[in-house]
Order: sequence, then structure tokens, then C-alpha cells
Amino acid sequence: MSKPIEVSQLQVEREHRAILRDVSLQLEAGATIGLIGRTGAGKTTLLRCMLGLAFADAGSARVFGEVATELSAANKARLGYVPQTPGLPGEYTVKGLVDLIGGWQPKWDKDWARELQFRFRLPQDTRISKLSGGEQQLLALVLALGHKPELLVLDEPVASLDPVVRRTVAATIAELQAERETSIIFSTHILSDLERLASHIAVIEDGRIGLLREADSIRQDVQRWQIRSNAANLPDRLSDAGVLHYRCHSRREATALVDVTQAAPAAALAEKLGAHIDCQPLGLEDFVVEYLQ
Amino acid sequence: MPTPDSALSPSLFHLDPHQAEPIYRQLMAQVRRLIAAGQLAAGDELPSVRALAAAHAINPMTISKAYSLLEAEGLLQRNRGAAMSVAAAATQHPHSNDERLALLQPALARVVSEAQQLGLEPDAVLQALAAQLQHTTPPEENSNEQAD
Repeated sequence: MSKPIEVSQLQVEREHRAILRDVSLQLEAGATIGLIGRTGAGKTTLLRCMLGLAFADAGSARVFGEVATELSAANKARLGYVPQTPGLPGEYTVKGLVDLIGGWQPKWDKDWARELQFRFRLPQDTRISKLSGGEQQLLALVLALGHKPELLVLDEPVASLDPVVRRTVAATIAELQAERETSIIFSTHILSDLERLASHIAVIEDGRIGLLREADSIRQDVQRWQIRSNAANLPDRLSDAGVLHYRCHSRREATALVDVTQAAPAAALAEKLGAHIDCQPLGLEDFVVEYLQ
Repeated sequence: MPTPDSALSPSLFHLDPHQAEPIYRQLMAQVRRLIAAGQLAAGDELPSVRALAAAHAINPMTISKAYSLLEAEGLLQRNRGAAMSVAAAATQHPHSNDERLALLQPALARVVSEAQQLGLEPDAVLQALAAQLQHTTPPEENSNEQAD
């Protein structure tokens, strides 16, 4: 069976500036990739290329095995997409737009869509122009989830939602995933509640995927090593095996993110650097924040 | 797919994605602890993957992974449908020394890993552990907890 998403050696340039440089990535059935990067790292461009909404200068993007820019109606019906700015027509009421979009979707599940509106506390008869930014985002989610898609692409889907609603959205997505084995890729510049859902974390930096790894494997195998040297001679760079990231604060202090399954023992590195190393396990959020420094 | 009434509540478990411990391991450890402590009996049905995934907003694959590994260990068994329940064999010797020692394994593994990272000799670590054990008096049995 073809993978929900396969991106290979994607390159995108806009106005002589490289947005994506050689990005390859695969989304397996049932997996959830959290695409994390700072603003401007290329997240939105990558998601748009994946869906054939933007053209790449080189490389390929496939959705369910089809070239993304030539996606068939049958495969389009299997996916749901929430863009960063939904751009919904303001003159419609919530109910009016849900009925309209639902009418176009061959697999629309009316009961489920109604359930979603209830859970997300969306008013039925309010015009979309009167909704808050968060409510518009929730409505876009209803429209993307109403047909129980097999593939869900979400661009910063919870950026303007409060923590309680974020959790409701994450729980709803988890429930859909359990029922349909939905594959998901979502982007975020902060770690929100959505990272709970991520089976994999992809970090995008300056148009490149710096790291793609199982979330549980990051929790399990990656440590933060705080390196201190009294001799004040720490190097600017460190590229030993297993060192995923290294940041030299000063000649006396540095922080490394280390895959302990690949690296030599800390004691060996400490001896080599003439430094003291404090090894700390770390959670996903701390990992990402340090990695993006 | 309504959750059968007999299944345990998903809120029995506490899954924290911010911890350094993988989520599937958190779940496995909690199931083991509940069985060893006698809070889960043979035949007790665990929450469905869907119920647990939705309640904690966790990827369902992570939950399936924990359940499958516990099934492979013989602690859980898969019933008709996909429901998991506590295996009869899992509760036969709930308070055996081996069972309780097994629960200590993750913590021991962490100690070993950190000791290796620090370049400590095994003897030194064992001595430190022995000293720690002597230092700490065993907690007294709390008879108030025997509710039933």
C-alpha cells in the first residue's frame, strides 16, 4: 500500500531565496508527525507542497502514491487540511457553511460533524465574520474532520486556542485516529498540547529537516549534557558520534543533546574535553527548545 | 464502539508526555504496578485503545504498543474484539519477590546507565546502593489502606 505522504528531495526557491533545501520525509499510515520549527523555517511551504498547493522547483511530493499536484478526486476525499489562515467566507453562518461544505463531501458524516461543533462549542447561527480567530480555527477543523479523513494536514491548527479547547481538539483527533488509523502531519512553532499526539517529531531548520525521530525514542535515548570546564577551553563545535546538537555558551560552559545509544560514555567525553559533564534526561519540550537554540 | 461498562476508567492511568520516560513505558509500568499491588485482578478489562487515546489525547499507536508488549509478557490477554484484560497467570503470585523486583528494573536500569555515563566502577555503585538501603528504614505497613 502506498504511503499517505512521501516527499523526496524537495527544493523550493522564492525570489532567489531557498525556502526548502532537499527535504525528504515519509508519513506512515497511522503515524503522527509533529513538524516543529521557528517562524520562517519553511513549515507552511513544506505542507503546501505536500498537498500540491504549491509547486516545488525540484523533487517530488506524493499523496497516497499520486503526484500531489495531480491528485484525483477520490484521493482528495480521503484528506483533510487546515491552513494556517482558514480564509472562510464571512457572510455565511456556521451552520450554513458546514452544510455547504458537507454537501460537497461524498463521505461527510453529519452526526460526527454535529458532535464536533458541540464539542468545540461553536454557535450554529452566528455569521463567520462575527467569530473570534479561535472559533474560525475550530470551524476550519470541523470542516477538515467532518468526513473522518485518513490523512490530516494541519498548519498551526491550535495557535489561537486556549489550553482547554486545545486539549479537546487533541483528544478528538486521537479518537478519530483510533477509529480510522488516520495519518497526521501538523506544524507548530511552539510545543502545544498537540505534541501529545505525535508519534514522530520532525525539526525543520532553515529549510532542512534537521531531525526526524520517534517521540518516545527522544524521551528515552536523548539526554542533555551540561558541560563545564574550569580550564575554559571548550570548543566551538562538537561533532562526536551521537551528538545531535551542541551549543557553546562560553569557553567554560556548553550544552549538548546526546543520543546515548550512539555516543561514547560521558566520562570519556569529559576526559577528552577536560571538563565535568552533568547528564540529564529531558522531556520533549526541553529537547525541542534546546535543539532550536 | 461504546466502551463496555466492565472496562476500567481511562483516568486510572496518569500519562505525562512532558516526562523523559516514553509514554508507552509509563503505561506499561502503571499496569504492572496495579497488577502487583492487587488493584487489578485476573479478567479485569482495561480501557480500550480508543478510550485511553481520547482521554489522554495520546497517539493510539503508543497505547497499542504498550498493550502488545504487556500481552507478550503474559500480563494481558486479548479478548474477542480487541479488548485487553488482565491474564489469569499475571495475578497468580501477585506479591512474589520476583514480581516486585521486576518493577524495580526500570529504576535500576536508570542507575546503571547513569553510573556508566559517570564512569563509576560496579563495586562502588553496589556499595552506594547497599549504604542507601541500610540508611532507609522500610516504610511501615499502612493498615488504613485495606479498604475492603
